[in-house]
Amino acid sequence: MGIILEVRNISKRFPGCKALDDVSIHLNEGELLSVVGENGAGKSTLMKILAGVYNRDSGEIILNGKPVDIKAPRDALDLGISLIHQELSVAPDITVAENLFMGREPLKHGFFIDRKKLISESNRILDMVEAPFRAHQYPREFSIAEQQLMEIAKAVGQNSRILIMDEPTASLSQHEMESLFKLIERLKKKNISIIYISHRLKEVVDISDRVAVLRDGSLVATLEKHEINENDIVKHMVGRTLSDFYGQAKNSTSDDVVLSVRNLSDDTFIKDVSFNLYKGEILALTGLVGAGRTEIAQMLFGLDKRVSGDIYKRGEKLEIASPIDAMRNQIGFLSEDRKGSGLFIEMSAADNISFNVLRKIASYGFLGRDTTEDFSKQYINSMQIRLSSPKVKALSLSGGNQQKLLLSRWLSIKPEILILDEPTRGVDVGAKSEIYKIIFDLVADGKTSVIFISSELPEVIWLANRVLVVRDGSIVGEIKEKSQITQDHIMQYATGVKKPDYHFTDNGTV
Amino acid sequence: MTMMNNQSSKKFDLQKFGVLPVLILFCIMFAILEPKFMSVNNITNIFRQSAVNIIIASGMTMVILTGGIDLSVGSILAVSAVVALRVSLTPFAYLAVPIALVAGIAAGLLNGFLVSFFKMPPFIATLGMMTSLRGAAYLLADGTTVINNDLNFAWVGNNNLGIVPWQVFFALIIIGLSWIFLRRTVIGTRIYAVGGNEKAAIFSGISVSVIILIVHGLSGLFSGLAGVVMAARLYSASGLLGVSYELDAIAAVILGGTSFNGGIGGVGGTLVGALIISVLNNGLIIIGVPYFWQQVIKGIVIIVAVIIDIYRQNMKVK
Repeated sequence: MGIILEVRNISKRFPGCKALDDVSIHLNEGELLSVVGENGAGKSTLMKILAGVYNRDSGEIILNGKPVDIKAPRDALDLGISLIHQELSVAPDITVAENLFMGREPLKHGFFIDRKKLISESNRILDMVEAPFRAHQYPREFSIAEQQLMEIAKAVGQNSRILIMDEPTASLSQHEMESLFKLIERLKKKNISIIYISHRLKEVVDISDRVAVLRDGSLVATLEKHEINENDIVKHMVGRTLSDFYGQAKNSTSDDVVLSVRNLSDDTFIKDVSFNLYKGEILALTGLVGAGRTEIAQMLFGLDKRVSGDIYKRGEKLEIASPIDAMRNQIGFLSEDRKGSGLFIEMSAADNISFNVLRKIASYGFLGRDTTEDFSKQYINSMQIRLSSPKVKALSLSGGNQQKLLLSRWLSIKPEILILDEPTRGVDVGAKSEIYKIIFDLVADGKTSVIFISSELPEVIWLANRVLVVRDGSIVGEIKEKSQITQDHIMQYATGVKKPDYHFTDNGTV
Repeated sequence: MTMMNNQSSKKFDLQKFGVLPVLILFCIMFAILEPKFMSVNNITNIFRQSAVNIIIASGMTMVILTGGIDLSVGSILAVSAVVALRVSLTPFAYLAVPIALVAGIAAGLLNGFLVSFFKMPPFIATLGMMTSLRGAAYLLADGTTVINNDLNFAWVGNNNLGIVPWQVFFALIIIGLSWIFLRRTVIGTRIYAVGGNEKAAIFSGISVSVIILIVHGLSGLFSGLAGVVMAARLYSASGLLGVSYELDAIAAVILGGTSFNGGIGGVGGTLVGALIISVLNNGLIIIGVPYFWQQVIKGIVIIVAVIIDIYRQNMKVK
């Protein structure tokens, strides 16, 4: 088992940050090397350099003992390095075979495509990866897992010796994940090396031969097989121990009802949703994806039309027909879709933070040169948003820091009720722990109450004072006792194993 | 860390200049080929010729920043010019300019209304308005040219402020005010936000319809002002004025680095873009390039400049 690939002293800068700083890693033949780190640690940059998407600023790449220059994705492919993207690039309306041989179709008479050979070669490759589909099929209806398998087959068909997999399990079910891991084992036996990137530490521990940990663009540790465990990985990733990692709840909930939701319906999906939110409380709305959690939240915020139902804040009935109304009543809503409905990526970090209070910080509608910058500084400091200047575009920040921009935006309106929809989606463990602490701090003085939506049950268990489980557009269960909030208990409600037993009792709160 | 900051700020500064180097390059080239090009007289001419386009393109910039487009600017110009001339021939001549500007705003707001309330694609809405208003301009002018040799606001198009023609002065004021509006006001920031990510703007409680109305209203106002300037310069107006001016305005905006998708760019670039077009128009004539070749060259310059810009944007990412 020799060394197939070695990177030596690779550095890469972007405007505003140093993405990679003097990183040296090697990859053995037939091994699976996991590269982990927080968002912004440099994993993706390193992989993109290897795949020819980015060019390195300095350093060497040595393949099979020889220095190579990878300037474009084509070069990487020619050298046998394939990147399996997180976002797959399958052409849905041409056959699997045409996908596999795109750009290097077998020819006859130097001009016509040799269809027979195309199909037979493709099927041979598909057999190698034990694909459940054949060469003549169209990928239009393929699941994510099947599309991914096709991409892997494509790489194998190109005789790639090194596969780089970027978050390959991000959208796979448990079952699909297991077949992927089996396939990886087979590839390793064929002496193919795999560089594996994932946020899911459990699977990293399970399948890695070695783990390289990046932090702030530098390689901080390489763990050998016997040294790999979740605690040590996290410790290296964040540079801290786990004990003070996730923060602790310090709020005490009271009996004062801040928000009371009565019989909310949209006549199609959301049915008769009623609940109270208490002062200083962290209330989790959980359930399976698509259960209706986001819809309920969007109705509260005036994004979705409600057909019936009332919303009361401290006993006063609210007329919420649009986000403007909700914000006027100090209700904030952090959307689950950070890029799609949150960030203004081309605008500065400062403008992104202060966007909701522009009117307030402006004088007569005019903004000074540094108005938003000055305003945003308090949040950049308190949230430890890492950027070289508040003027950099939001685009250039990592996922975790982008999320903190949006949290700042909502905290700046001093919300009494803050709805957080999947606040830690797509952020790494470090940022996650920081966001938890921000939420704990937020409710600590009782001025803000939080409704948060999450599919990650460990997160729900860690954060929530109380849990409401949503299923098919209705609330089916309530878990009040902290000690009763367990994955099992939530899943029983969420999947319908436990019969709905939620009854909203109006204890004279309105 | 400091070194890093220096590096990045240097890169961004280069970006800020946009197509300015192209403008300078053309000026140097024409100056070498024909020294008369750099005479004060000729430079004043270039500015005077670009004034109308600069004014229209300022409004166009705002519309394009929201991700829209305004094809009706040339027609609004014609309507406003004819309205100004018509009113100038009545006893209420002093109302000629205000009424022409109001006509411009009204047409712009109607554009905005179609886009924001009927959710029409801006291209289609303003295409319809372009055609209708062109007809309206001919009707208002009775199909002929309305002339007023004793035009009360003729100074706008013919007099100077010092050595600066009033119309150039107005054009630069419009650019300056637009810059302040876009970069230093709450509404300006919201214009960028709506163009950059409309959904996020809605989620932040922004009324997108209001922003759309504002940018189209301003585009109409500026087109109206451009109509007044043209009418003043010509002492007359007809339904023929401003035909295909929307194309020059769009070219100036895009040359200036404003993204067609919205959210990126600004009026500073638009000023440079408009000047490039005028310098080309003027310089190619001065050095004696035949008319048809002028067209070919102008088109190529626009395409090449935008290609360079795209290339540079990509370099920045790599």
